[in-house]
Amino acid sequence: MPELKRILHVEDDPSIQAVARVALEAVGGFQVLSCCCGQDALDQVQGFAPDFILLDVMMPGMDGPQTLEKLRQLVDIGQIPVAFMTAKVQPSEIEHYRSLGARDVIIKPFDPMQLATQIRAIWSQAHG
Amino acid sequence: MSNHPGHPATPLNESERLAALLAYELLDTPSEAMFDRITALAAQICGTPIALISLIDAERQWFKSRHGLDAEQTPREMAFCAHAINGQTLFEVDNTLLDPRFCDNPLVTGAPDIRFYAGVPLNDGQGHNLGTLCVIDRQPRHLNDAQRQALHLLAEQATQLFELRLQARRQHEQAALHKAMFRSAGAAVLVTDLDGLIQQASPGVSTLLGYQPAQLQQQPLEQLLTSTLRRLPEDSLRKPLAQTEGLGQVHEVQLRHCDGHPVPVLLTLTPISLEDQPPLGYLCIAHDLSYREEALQRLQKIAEHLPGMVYQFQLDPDGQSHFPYTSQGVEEIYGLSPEAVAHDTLRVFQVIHPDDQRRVQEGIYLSARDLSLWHQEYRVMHPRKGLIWVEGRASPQRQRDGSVLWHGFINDISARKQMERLKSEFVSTVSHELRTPLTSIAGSLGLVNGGALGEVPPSMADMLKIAEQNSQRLRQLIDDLLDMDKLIAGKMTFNLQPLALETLLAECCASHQGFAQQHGIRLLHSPGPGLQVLADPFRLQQVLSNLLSNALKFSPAQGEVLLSSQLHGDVVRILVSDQGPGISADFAGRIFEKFSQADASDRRQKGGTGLGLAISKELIERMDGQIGFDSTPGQGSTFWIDIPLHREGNAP
Repeated sequence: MPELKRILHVEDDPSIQAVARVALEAVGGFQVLSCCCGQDALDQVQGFAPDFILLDVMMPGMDGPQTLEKLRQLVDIGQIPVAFMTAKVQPSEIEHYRSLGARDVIIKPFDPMQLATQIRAIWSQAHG
Repeated sequence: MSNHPGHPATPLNESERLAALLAYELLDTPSEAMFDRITALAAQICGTPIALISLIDAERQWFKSRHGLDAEQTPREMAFCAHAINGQTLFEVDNTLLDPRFCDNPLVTGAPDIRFYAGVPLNDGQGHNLGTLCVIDRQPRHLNDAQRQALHLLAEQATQLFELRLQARRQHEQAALHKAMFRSAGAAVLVTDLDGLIQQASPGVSTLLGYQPAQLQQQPLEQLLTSTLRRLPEDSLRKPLAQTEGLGQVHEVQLRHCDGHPVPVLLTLTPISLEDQPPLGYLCIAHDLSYREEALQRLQKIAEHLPGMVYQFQLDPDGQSHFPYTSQGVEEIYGLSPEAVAHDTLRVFQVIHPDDQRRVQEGIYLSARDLSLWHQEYRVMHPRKGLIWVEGRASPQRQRDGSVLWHGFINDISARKQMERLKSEFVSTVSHELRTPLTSIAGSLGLVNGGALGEVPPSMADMLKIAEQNSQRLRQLIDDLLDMDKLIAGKMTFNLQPLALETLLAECCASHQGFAQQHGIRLLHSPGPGLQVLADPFRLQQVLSNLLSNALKFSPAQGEVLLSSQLHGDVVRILVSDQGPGISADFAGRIFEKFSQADASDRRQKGGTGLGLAISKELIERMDGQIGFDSTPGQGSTFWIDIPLHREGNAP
């Protein structure tokens, strides 16, 4: 199984960006690139070459699912797992996001001490 | 006596004869000149001092007319006439003293000393001899042919008078009855000639129309009709009347009161005619309908002040439907007039939103079938107001003819629907807007308290923990509010599926072990019968999680919480038992209400929102289950959930 190092995090709220960065860098030991919107992510994804993409669903302009659609044209999401983050928790919605190509859904508000563990679990499922 | 030759025989048709006699209503009535003239004539023609019209009843002969005799009646067995009625023609005894049948008759041996008797039976034409016309003399005599013939003719005349007299009596009675009806009918009665000129008016016209009956004599009936209906007689009165065959025609019209105001009446028009002859005139009976008009106006006034529409809707056994009554408000709801919808319910269904039509129709049929309250909310494409939401309620009653009649009302609830939508949007916007900053707050505190940024100075640790706990409480409160809102709005979807219960219970138990350890409590799962239930796994977990965290929160340190299940008939009962303080009788009644906690201070100490059990109850009931508890204060509580057992065939 390849090693998980680089995570691209797309999130419009700067506070949540900051919390997630600490949760992933300080607790998880990953390298994180935070993008403030979908377009920012599209511009930077190839330069950063992430191992994993964490995508907020509700964003102004291009939302999570739209961003995912565009990302698929730039990178192989079969190799780079994508997980959504959302506050909406209806089971049917989780199924819907999976059908769009997401590996899993991380529910907001997330436990920052557990976030790295959650992402590692998704990673090992994708490459297991 | 019966074998005495003078004892008269009884006619063979005696009982019918007596009935016929009684029917003429002659017996024991006062004397009448027309009969007395016949007896006088008979006596004169025959030259006898006595002539009688004698009627024979069961016991006696009774004289309807007596000429030259005082006695009113004599016993039947001594009556000469009783002999005479046994024949069809003149019965004559020239000399009674020489006749063995009569020589010892008391009427011969004593007064009136009968020596001669001649009687002609009075035949009613039906074979009944009712009595005789007879002449009597105190000396022997013999009638000549002319006298006999005259006696026969007078007898015939007498019986014809019986008949005419009876008819006249009947006519008098009929006339008296008609007069009583005419005078006392609870209506105004008018008789017109063929041209519609009033010939008679009953006293009822003064009550109904204010006229004295005499004032209307020879006035045209049309004059009593209000101007709007002036043309009526030509088309509706005269022509059809000529065609009707004695049957009354009924019209709802307005008559003019003598002071000018209109009086609503039900007018029945009947031609008056003798059999097979053109009518002589018309009988018009006017029934006052103003009481009905008043009731209708009262209803209309009340209905005007009600929002929406009130109505009656009728569904006939053949599937036809109509609106026997709708208030003017039907315009507010359907944009149609009461007249337009009365017989054409299709027009109403056509303005119901196409997506709701079927639902409304099914709702009506269901209500008709079960005779249950009809209560629905649906959309109407109102021609003036555009798309509106309405709410209808009506209670059905089965009618004698098998139809179902609803009484109900329908309201425009567009404003309420708009409010609901705004509220729902508000709640979801606010909750999203609240959650985003809360994610950062809880996340930051979690990282700091988790030591991700280094050791927390002991002086700050307590405060930071309080901040983190409270941010979590806030998150729970928002989640609960959102759930409650979705449940109330009916927007929460349930994905009912067969579930292996033990697996689900084991998972729930495992996920709460951490929380149990924090509180120093043993959380045990006692494996049950291993059944399948029909439920939404996510929602069932949510309820179990609520019950388990309550049990853990309220258990004393070193206590025990037990999760178990049992089969209860068609349902599986899941039990969560704790050793907490139990639930007071005072609180038991409102434990499942929103924002209820046993003690207001609990909320702060135990960190609940007061919505958990209310949401659990809603969730379980939406999954066709039930929730409850058994508790003895001081000895712990057991909360239970009954969930339908999954069986082949009851899968959703």
